Amino acid sequence: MKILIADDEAISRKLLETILQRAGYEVQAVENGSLAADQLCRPDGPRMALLDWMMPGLDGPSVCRVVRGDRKVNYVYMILLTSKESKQDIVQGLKSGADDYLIKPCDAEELKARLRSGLRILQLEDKLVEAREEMRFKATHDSLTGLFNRGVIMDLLGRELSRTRREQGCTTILLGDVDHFKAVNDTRGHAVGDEVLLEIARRLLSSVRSYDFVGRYGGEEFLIVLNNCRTSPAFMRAEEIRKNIDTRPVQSSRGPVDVTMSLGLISTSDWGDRPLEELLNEADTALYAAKASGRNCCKIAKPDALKLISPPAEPEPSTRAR
Amino acid sequence: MNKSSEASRERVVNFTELFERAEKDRELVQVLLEVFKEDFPRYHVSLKEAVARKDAKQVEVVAHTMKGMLLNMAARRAADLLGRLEKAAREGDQSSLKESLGLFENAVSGLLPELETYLEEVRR
Repeated sequence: MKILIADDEAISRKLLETILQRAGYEVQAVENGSLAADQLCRPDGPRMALLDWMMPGLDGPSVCRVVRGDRKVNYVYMILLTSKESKQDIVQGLKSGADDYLIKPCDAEELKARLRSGLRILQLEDKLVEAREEMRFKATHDSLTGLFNRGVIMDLLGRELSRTRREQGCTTILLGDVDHFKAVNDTRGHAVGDEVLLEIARRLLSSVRSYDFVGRYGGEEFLIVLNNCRTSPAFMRAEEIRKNIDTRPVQSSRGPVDVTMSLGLISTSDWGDRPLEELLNEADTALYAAKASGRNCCKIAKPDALKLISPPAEPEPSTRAR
Repeated sequence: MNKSSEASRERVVNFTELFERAEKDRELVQVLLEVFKEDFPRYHVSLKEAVARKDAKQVEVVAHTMKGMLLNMAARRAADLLGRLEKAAREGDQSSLKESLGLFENAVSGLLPELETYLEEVRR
């Protein structure tokens, strides 16, 4: 555990440094309050600190206030070292955000015991943060595939459409559905079905850019949001996704499984400022058209002719039905 | 009280306490003594100058730092005297600064030779 010692007086620094190093701490010693605040406010800075009360620049209580005010990541356990002994001083020190205080000169055993208490609090805090992050992940991600769940991907899509409107940019939505997935479940079993969905999720993630969003929309349906992407490159991306799924069978625990995906594509560059629900309905219609065209292909929703076409410049995707 | 503890009480620094504080580490005690020997005269000069200038704020700051230093070195009486000087400066009692400084200087007059003797012992 890293610990910071801030004291302008060299004997105190040396004494504390040696005692704490011997106790197994990784010690960083500084000689004023400003340096201490800088170090403690770093995301990878020490999580424990011994701060002298009176120091040049920032004093100990001021360092506590800065750290409590600025720190956004982990909790820092701070002990004030002081030769002030009045109740008023101690209350003032604790009010500034210090967790504990020690009267100088400190007894080595007492110091180590107080630090052990601090460590217990930090460990408890770590466990709480870990549990909170786990709950947050579970609340926002699909438990099987690890992709965003429906609620989150819809929320992200809503935000992206707002941004697109604001900045007059372009967003493309892909709605993908695994072809004949019911047959996989019926013939290979649901466990293999799950393995297929998991592998498809991996392939989807590997086919998009880091700033695109991928979510599980329904059972075997996936929603992909391509940020700042117009129709033509979006169609190429959709084709890459389709091929990425089509060209290699999924290696399941019960052998290889051939799967394909049909995709419907809609771009705000073609449809302008439409409500999210309307765009999704149109993407769904495009997906339906892809299914009707023999599956394993991608169709673009076009508003003007009210029909669904593939760009003529693109090679025709395989339409082999499964 | 035995002879050695009596001797320890007469000294400015309680070396038994200092040795305990350093977790009985002779090497660390030696380092602390050497740092003290170097820093103490510097702070002392700074304190004397601040008292001469009647700069109460500076007297308070330097006296506080030196008090912490002396407490760490187990020089309790000298630290107490500096505590008085610090208090007088904080309360703006200019008239007693010189007198308090004198009392302190009197108490630490034999400090540096005492440290030299002890350093010799520790080095052995």
